Amino acid sequence: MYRELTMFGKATDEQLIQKALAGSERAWFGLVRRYEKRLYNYSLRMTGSPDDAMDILQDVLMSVYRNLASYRGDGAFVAWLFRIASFRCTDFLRRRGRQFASTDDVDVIDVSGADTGDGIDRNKGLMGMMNLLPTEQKHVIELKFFQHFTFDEIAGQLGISSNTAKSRMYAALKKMRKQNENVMLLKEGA
Amino acid sequence: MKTEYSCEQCKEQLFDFVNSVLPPLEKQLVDQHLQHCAECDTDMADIWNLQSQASSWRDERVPRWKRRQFFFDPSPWPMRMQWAASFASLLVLILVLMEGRISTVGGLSIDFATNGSRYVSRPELMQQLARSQDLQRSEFDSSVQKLTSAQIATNQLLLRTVLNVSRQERREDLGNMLILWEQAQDQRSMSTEESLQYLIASQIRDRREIEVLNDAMLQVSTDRNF
Ligand SMILES: [Zn+2]
Repeated sequence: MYRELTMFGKATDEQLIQKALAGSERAWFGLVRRYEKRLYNYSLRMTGSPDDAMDILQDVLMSVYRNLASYRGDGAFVAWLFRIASFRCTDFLRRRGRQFASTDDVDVIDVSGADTGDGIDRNKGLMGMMNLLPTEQKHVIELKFFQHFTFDEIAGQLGISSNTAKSRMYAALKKMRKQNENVMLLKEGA
Repeated sequence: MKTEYSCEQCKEQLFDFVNSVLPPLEKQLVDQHLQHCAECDTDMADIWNLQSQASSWRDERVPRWKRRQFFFDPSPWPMRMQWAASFASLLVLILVLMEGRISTVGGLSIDFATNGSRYVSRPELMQQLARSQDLQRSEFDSSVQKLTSAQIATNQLLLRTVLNVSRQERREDLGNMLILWEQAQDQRSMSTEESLQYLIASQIRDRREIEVLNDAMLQVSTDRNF
């Protein structure tokens, strides 16, 4: 569903990787074009900023490029890709976290986005909601609700147990629910 | 039904329950638990809500960026023949600059010089090629004849000798090229030297930069596996 029509539209990920490793620049670009949109939107939700998302996209692709020869083809490429993305993204957020204040004292913001019909506004609402979460919860929500990985896959990508992944998801859901309730209260009070 | 789900067991299955992918028995057990557990019921609603919100995400377009920026160095992957190729083109460049000439024992000669009015036409070149092929063929025939007359009986020995002959020829070709290369080097002008040095220096510089980058990447890799 994420595949876009390219010159390598019909080739599998593994075929593109083999060709790229053999020196085909076109195969590498085919692979990049196949996943860049998905990775960019992933980074957008993880950071809430288009500039940061671009940085992460390039960072992740650079890492993929450097490590391509070590991809063993056991398991889906996309799972491996998001494992790298998770590492790079965590690293990025930690570095950014040092530059900015902690996210614990975020103001109550309207993240429902319900009364704005526009798609981009809805995206903003979702990004705002994601921004409330600590990085480790954000990862689980992203990988589960947007990338549709299984809990086992998520566990492998984040280097945690499947149970930890689940409890992080419930903690995140609780946090988001509280935020929504606060917004409702504010609206009623207004 | 005697067995009932605890909250923990229920939460284990809740995501699959919302997505209706649970087997009938598990589905029934979750259903039962939800009827009398408000907490799990709230969790279930949360999952459902976030899922419907997530599906409303509209993928945003990737801004323009330089995809080519890091496809410039083959070093992370096994060495490819790029060095050989660039060396060959460099050699040709120098031969052209130095008006060099390559000739094989077989009789084929290629002129890289423009030599005033001298101009090798296509039919002429084809003729030369045919001639050299004929020469090679007759050379081959004569060596086979020589071998036969010398009464070398086993096919194996014959094959080995033929292979040796052609190997020898190839070695001579390479030797000729090397001599030409050396001559060209001796005669080279300052400008050629300068441009060559620049080429090599920039290659080395690129490599060093890439190595530094690679080291930094490796550093990060060892820190966290990637
Ligand atoms: Zn319960």
